[in-house]
Amino acid sequence: MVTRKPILLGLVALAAAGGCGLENFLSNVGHARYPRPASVVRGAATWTGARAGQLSVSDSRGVFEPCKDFTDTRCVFATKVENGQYEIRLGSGKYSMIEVRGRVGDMELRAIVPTLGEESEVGGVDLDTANMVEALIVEARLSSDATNLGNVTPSAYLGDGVSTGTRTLIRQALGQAGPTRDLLTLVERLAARADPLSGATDPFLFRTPVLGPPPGYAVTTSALDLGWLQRNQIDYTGDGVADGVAPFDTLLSQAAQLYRPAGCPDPSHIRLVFSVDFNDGCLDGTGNRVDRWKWLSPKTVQADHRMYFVGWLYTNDPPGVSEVTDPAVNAVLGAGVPNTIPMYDDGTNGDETAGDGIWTVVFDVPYDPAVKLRVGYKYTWGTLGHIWTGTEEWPGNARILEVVDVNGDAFVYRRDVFGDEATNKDRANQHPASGGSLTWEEGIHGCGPESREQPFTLHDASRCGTSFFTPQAIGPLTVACTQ
Amino acid sequence: MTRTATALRAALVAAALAPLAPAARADTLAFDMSGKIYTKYMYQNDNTQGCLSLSNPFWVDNIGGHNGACTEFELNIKANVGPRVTAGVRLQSRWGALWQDWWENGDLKPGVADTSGESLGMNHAAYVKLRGAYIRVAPPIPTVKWVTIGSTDYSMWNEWTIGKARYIDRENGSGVFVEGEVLPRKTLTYTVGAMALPKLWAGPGWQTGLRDNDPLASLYGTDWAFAAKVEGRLGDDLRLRAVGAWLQDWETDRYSPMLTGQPSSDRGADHSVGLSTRFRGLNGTLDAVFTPAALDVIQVSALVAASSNYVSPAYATNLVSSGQGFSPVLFRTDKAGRAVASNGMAAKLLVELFDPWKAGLSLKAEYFNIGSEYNAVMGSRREADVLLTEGMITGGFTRGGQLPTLNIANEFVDWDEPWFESCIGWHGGTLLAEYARGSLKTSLEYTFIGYNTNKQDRDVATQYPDFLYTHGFTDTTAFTADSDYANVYDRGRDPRSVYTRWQDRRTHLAVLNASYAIPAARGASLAGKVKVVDDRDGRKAGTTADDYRGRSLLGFLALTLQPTAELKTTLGYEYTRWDEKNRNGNQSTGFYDSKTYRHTARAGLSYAFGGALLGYTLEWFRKDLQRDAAGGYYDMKWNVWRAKATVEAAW
Repeated sequence: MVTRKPILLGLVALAAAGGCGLENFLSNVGHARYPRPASVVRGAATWTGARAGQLSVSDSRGVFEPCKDFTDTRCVFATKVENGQYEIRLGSGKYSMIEVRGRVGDMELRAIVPTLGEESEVGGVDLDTANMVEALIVEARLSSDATNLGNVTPSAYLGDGVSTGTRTLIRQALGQAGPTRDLLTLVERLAARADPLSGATDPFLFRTPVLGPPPGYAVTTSALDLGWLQRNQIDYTGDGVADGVAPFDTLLSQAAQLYRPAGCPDPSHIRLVFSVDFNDGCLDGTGNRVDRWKWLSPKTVQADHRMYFVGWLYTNDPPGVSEVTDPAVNAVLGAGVPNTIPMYDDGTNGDETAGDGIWTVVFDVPYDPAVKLRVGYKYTWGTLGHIWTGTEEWPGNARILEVVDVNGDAFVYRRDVFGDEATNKDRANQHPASGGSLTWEEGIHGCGPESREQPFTLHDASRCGTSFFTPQAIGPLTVACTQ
Repeated sequence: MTRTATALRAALVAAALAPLAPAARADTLAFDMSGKIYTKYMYQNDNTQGCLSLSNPFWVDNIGGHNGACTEFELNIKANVGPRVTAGVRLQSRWGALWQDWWENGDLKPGVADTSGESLGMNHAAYVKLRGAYIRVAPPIPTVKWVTIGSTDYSMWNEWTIGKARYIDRENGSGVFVEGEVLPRKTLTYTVGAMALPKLWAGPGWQTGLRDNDPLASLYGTDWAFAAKVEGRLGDDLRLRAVGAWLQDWETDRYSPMLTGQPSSDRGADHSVGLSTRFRGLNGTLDAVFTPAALDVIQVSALVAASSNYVSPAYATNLVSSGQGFSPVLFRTDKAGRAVASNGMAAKLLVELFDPWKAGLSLKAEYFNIGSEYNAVMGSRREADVLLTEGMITGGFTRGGQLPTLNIANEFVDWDEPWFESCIGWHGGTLLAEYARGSLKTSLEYTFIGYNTNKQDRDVATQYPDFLYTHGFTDTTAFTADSDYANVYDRGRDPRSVYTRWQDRRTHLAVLNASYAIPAARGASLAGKVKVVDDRDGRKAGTTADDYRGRSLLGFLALTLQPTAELKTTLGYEYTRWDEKNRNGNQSTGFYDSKTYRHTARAGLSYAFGGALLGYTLEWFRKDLQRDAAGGYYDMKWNVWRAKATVEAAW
């Protein structure tokens, strides 16, 4: 009896405190804001007085801008330098063949980062002369091959770390006599003459070089500024005479001819690219305007919604099962789990144009014309981990694609209109010519089988395009050259 | 034959069921039910339709308009469940269905050419909605007198913290409240409460997480306000009261690992999310009332208040910079650009002498000093008044008041309703003399207002909301005439506007009110008012070319007659003249003068009979707004007839 009142009082007080939002304080005790997920690059900034403002990141499309909001990728949201070590935090995403740049007065140092994943870190990307030499050689050679860093397959560039891959070979050559080592010597001498206090608009040394085509590999744009060399009477060759750009250019050209950073064609895999048009007013396979919101909820653009791809190895028969049955391939494609594989409309990861409403995703899959790789897939508009309902193009059924490089450009590129039920939808196909279902060989637009890559017309799935599209934002899949 | 058989079958069924059914018994002592019908008719010589003068244009809202007749019904049910438990509920029909609407059923069909006449949505369907549901319990817990769970109007706090909900929202708010008494005879009492934050208006952007309103926020179900009040007496002379309120608007920490990637424990995902503060508002007041028993002609009231409002720019879109300066909160930053709380203090002191010379003359003096950043985000939005002065917004027919918030709500009102202005930053005093003798009642007020908001080059681009319309007398009469909230017809200062980039302002205000009960006629009276305002703002220091000076003169006269006990009639006229120098323009284009002349006449009646109450008001006003053509402005004219009739019956 003595303890009943206090117990009752306590229970009632607890009940009163609960049920009124106070639990939020309880569950949030000690919660510090989660850091923004980032893809992080770290390394040494080897010059005295390094500052965050001197650092930037670029890819083949240019320098990354500061992140504007929390959904941005391909952007920098934090940079810091402490004790000669820098850290650059990029919006979490998949990056490949990016360059870290350090601008020190009239000099720019660069270092290549072959690959950087979502919420991951890569260290040791030092802004030093060795990485500068590697960047110069790769930039020069790619320009001679009329391609760029964006078209390089990272795995081909890295190689096996022992005897293949451009990076492997350059790193080995830096320790051996030859053009690469000699180039390093010149870079070191030149770097020592840089003026860290210069206010030059463009760097005088270590600009991005451009080489002409083989077999001449003549330098058309030097990495050095001739005027700067002449003004400063720099003798970087050590022969007692002030030099122009020629000795450096000649040596760079020689070094560039030793490597093939673009790699060699992958004989057993192919790059599979899906792109979907989510713009308002697109036409479906019958020429009717698509209601992209028909099955979506909510029916307006949401800041935290994006496009996802979900695919799987096709198993329905008819129309016919995939002969490739490797579970790993199925997993790569998403294994039929919706809202897990993001697509991109930010100019990265194979997306051609940022913000144009066309979302892209790229897969590298096995390719043997004799073994059919058949894929079922759909697009979903939702949030990470969301269920099918309210996010998929339509309930039930699937799009189908057979991985066949129809035009031989080393890509299988498919363009779809979101919500279009009248092209490559396997069942309940809305195109009258399909009879409601589709076979793997059936074409209903005079554009070849619907289940293949096709020439397309922008925003219009009912009309065949005039030519096949070869991606420009990403190169074909390559492997490290062995000879 | 058939009719006989049917009657026989019914009788047999009734006889068979009779022993099974318990006898129904109405416990009328424990059960109270009341109802009310309210009907409003509106007329105006324009092409709008609806039963609400001034609605809100910021969402799909089709109830505003001036021509139509509408009816609403409410049913109140209260029950004494037991000696210590009561409960109540109000069933209220939705306002907005016009008599002309006939078949409207809520079947909104957006994007469809609909000829059905039933397509205006639930706003026109007069559906009955559950409102005002509560349960009150008096548990046997020491000091606790009542625990209330459910709807209330938040009137237990005050205007400076959490204010009483405006009439149209009167029981939309719900929460849990505990009232108690620590010492007997109300020597020391307390009230604590937790209230669900309204998702629409109590926070940055006038919402707490509506996805379509603010792309940075989407969570409102976690948002609450907490408040506590302690009241006590020291002897019989001094009453003290302290009120504190905490508004907490949470958003999901968008970088919670569960939301940004796979739910892997390696990533720190733990099937929970963290919360981040979107908005936190703290308000507190301490007020005292001293009424010396030994000198009952005097009363002294004092209040001090403090507020602190923090907005996270990561979760709240800055409407100062991206909403044309319309924001109920400040977006303060420190020198490094980091978001910081906006803090403010306020105080007022009121001394009242009640007819000390026994000659019918009473005197009141009030000093007020409201800090430039005091802001009660969830304070009273209207239908309250914290200062003695009439302020600037009142007219002859138009009543109103001053409130210490940027969240003032002058929408969802008719043209005959009061208007309210923000008094944030006001610093000055009021002297009020009241004289009452016989049939005559008069009052004379003088008020000086200086402004704590006076500042040069204030950052109204990113931190301080200016509400776009910063100068000019606010024309509430014309505001309600156009069914338009955007002030496109140049109706003067937004009543919420207290910040401008360049300000050096002070205001003098004098008001004479008089009413005389005509002895010869029962219920007849004559009322008059003269009001003069001199408002100056030097704007940018160092130049006089931009100085604003507004002079307002108002005259008002009304005659009320009561021919019978049930019928009351009123006939009134109001003249307003505003002479404003440098009213329109800006620093780059220059400023231009304007003059306003407005004549308003009203005739009204009310008739009360047997529980029914009828009211009718007819108004005509003509307004001439003369602006300087040199600045590219054109003159405007209003010639408006409008009427409002109401009839209500309660039982």
